[in-house]
Amino acid sequence: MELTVLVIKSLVILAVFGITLLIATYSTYAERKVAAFLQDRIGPNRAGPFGLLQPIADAGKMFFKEDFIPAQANKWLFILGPCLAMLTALMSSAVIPFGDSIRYGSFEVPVQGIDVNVGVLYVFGVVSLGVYGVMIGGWASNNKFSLLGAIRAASQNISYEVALGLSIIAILMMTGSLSLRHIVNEQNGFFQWNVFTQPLGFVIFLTCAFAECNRTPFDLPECETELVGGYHTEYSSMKLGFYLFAEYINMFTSSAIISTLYFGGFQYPFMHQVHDALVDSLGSTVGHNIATGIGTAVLFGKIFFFIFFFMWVRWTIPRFRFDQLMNLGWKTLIPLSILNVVLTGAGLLFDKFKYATWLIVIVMIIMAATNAIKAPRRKPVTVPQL
Amino acid sequence: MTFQTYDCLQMLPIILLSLSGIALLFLGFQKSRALLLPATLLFLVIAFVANFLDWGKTYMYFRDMLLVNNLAMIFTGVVLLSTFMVVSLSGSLADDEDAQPAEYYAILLFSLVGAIMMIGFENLIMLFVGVEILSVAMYILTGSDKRNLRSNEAALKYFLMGAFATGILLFGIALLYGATGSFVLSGIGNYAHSATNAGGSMLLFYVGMFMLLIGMLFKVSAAPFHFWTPDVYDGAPSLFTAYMSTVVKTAGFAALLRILSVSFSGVYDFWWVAMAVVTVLTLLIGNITAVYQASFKRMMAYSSISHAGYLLIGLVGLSQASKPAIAFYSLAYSLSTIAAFGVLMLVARNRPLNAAVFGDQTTLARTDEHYDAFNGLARKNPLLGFVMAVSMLSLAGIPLTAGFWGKFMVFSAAADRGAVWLLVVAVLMSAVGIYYYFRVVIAMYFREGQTDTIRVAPFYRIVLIAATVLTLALGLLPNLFQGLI
Amino acid sequence: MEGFFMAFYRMGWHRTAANYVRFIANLRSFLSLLSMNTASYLPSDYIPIFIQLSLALGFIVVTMLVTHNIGPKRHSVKKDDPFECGIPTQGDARAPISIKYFLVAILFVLFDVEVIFMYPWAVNFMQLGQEGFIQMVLFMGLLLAGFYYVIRKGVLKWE
Repeated sequence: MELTVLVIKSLVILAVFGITLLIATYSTYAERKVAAFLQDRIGPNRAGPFGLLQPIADAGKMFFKEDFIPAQANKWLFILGPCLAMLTALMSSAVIPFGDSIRYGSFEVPVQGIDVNVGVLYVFGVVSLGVYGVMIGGWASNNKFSLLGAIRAASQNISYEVALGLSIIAILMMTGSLSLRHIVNEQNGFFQWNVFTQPLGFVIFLTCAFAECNRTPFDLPECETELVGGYHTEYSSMKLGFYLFAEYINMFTSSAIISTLYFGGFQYPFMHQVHDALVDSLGSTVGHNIATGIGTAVLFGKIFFFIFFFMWVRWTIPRFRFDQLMNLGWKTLIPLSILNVVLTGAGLLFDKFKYATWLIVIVMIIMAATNAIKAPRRKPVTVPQL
Repeated sequence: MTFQTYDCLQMLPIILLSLSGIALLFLGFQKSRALLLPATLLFLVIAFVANFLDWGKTYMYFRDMLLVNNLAMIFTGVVLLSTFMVVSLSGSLADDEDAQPAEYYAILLFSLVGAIMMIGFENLIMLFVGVEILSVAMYILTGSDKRNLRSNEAALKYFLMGAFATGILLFGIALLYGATGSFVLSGIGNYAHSATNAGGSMLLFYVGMFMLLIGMLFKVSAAPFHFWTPDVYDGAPSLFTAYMSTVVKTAGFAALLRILSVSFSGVYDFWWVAMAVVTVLTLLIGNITAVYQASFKRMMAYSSISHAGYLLIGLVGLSQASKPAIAFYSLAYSLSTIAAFGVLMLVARNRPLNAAVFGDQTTLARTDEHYDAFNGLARKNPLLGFVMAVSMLSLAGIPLTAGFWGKFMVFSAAADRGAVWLLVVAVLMSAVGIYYYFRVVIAMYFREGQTDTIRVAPFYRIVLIAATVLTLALGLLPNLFQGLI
Repeated sequence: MEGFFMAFYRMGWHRTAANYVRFIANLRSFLSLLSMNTASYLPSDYIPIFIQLSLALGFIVVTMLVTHNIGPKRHSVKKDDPFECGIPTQGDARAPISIKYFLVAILFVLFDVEVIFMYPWAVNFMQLGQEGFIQMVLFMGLLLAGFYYVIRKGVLKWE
């Protein structure tokens, strides 16, 4: 690989790395602000204007806390757990295409850590390692609550990983490639976005992404009412910080992947017209780079929307019970995603028709509607007069 | 990727058995267990008939993965017949509260798929898949008596040892592939022929070959890879011991025969001494240790080792004649072993061991499987006595039984190769065998014992009689079978 | 006695013995082959992943070292105990857990392997066409049959 290309790539990686950390940091702030907004409160407003320095204050506090290791814990595994969680969270963004490409001299470097032809597999491989971090940490703590939390986390993550993997298959069938960039390029035009061709796949993927990130309504591993703090009960200082941080980074990565797979990535309507106009007016290098910048900005807009969506759901929907969680994963999502694959395949074989899975959605809506109509009306509760 | 419907329809037994296994699993959801046994037997009969549809033709299936010819069909037939008999002896499973007959039958059928793959494989991958299917099924069945500690121990031992052996087998396959660049048997055979003629180092090939052979010899429990056998055969429920010692052994020897005759016949000079040493060891250890057993079931375990030795003689004297010889021997051995285990199960069921005598809980579920249990059996139960006596005679290789002709054919195959000293050992060991096989006969006919008349279900009785009649018929008219091949 | 040896000779024992000797002799060249340095081929495309990995590792290690060294350290017997809501600890957490979790783990391994089988098929879906589709539907049918069995057996029943 040319050194110049490598330098540009390194810069891209560094930028992505920094942005990831920054976004994860400010996600904590955003979360509290969103929570405050939804609960009609004010939220953090002391540190800096609008409380904007709050995350930095939190990070500083974390750093200066005591680095506590329980006497009964397995010391090295106890340290390894959060490190592994953080490492996998930081690694998974490497293959996401954040933009089209940067032109520099005669080089054309894609805005992406690395464009491997197995991008989807890479993401799944790295993400599925994340459960080790939780599992090791929870087990090494030698605390019953941590152990229960860790095991819940493990069984939940692996249960939803099956459906997650199955829901992607429909997309792979349409694009015929595992490269994320290729998948983005395929979604050329607004109604080619996979969310329109794969509505059911999108819903399944979104649900599974929530479960993989251990976000509400799937946050049983750290369910405060039952398990104290879940798998990180014994953790303090920056080790705890890593676990919390990893969750927010995962949220960012999931949002980026959802945007990439289902919402056209850095594509936006009339992209080509904008690109051509910019190239015409500013020259092929500057114009192209600015067009790429716009695409990247659009992608980040989508990502921010999904991060907001994650938070919105968290403060709206209550937590599942464990059996409900398992039933949803195994008995609903897996069969549905297999059905999704079969129907997509049938549609593609029948004259390359991409929108076949709408059939399932329509059927489901009709069923839900008939159920709602058939359901016995609840009598209004009469409050006895005191 | 071509998908010929033709391909699929002809390879019926594998597909039928797989599907009927799944069907049995679902049948198991019904409250009544009465339907399971007849359904299993029906499926086996269908598979048996389907197996012989192609009689007289030679086909290669699944893109040269499996070969079906007359020999493979014969072996498949033997395996299916043995399974049919074993299954038909399992009537009491339906009354056992702890048993899961639907799963057992399904596993048996699935394991048969593995056995058939081992019989007809043309590609080493198929051999590995077959061995694994068969072995994993056996691990489960060995431990199926969950309340019995001995059964659990046997399953764990079998699993650990079997996993090691499979690893060695796979390593051997990988090395062979590295040496020859082919998984296909004939490809490896061509390499062996041309490379020996060309000279040069064949180290990788030889290492691979020996690892593969060690893996397979473990599966057929030849010494010195036999250590798992007594404990596993003793610990497993008798029904599955009968299955293990017949079907698994037949399939294992069919696989060994295939790979030795197709792939390694070109380097016969290289492996035959090693195999001869294994044979002698197996014969010595199997027969001499069997003498010292107090438990009939454990004796049968060592007897199965010794029979592996006799079958190995057929392999050492590898020739065209050894193919029917091994097939015949497998059939004769399977028939008498199943009959013997059938009688043992009946006798043992009537004599539960008293836990207080042994003073520990682990023996609670055990039954008395010692020689003493047979004392005076023939007085009250002449049929059972006769069945047992015939099967013992056949196992010992006394003339007018199938076992005699089995030994005769195997020995004559080896004699053609001039391995006289091997035959001397084998004949001596057969004489030792007569001693421990006759202990049962003596116990049944000449010892006093308190035995009641044992009630035998009609179907059970028919199967026992059929096995005995077949053993005698093959002993009187061995050409009946030989003419087939 | 001589005849005995002659029998050996006729059976080709000497040739085989020579082969074994050759085998032992070749073992050395085989071992030297193993220890030889094979040129490690590194696809340069994957360098960025190592850059990212080293960046992430560096960040984690530095953070861990810093936070470990700047915080206070105070030990006491009670404090170092695992937290159990303030009451004295009972044993440790190396206790057996529900078998259900293991069953779920095994099922996951099964199903995830099946899903992985489907990836190459999905990528080549258009080329494989109708035949490939029928085969995969059959495969999924068998998978679902097993799935139904598992559910009927109550493996996924949580009470």
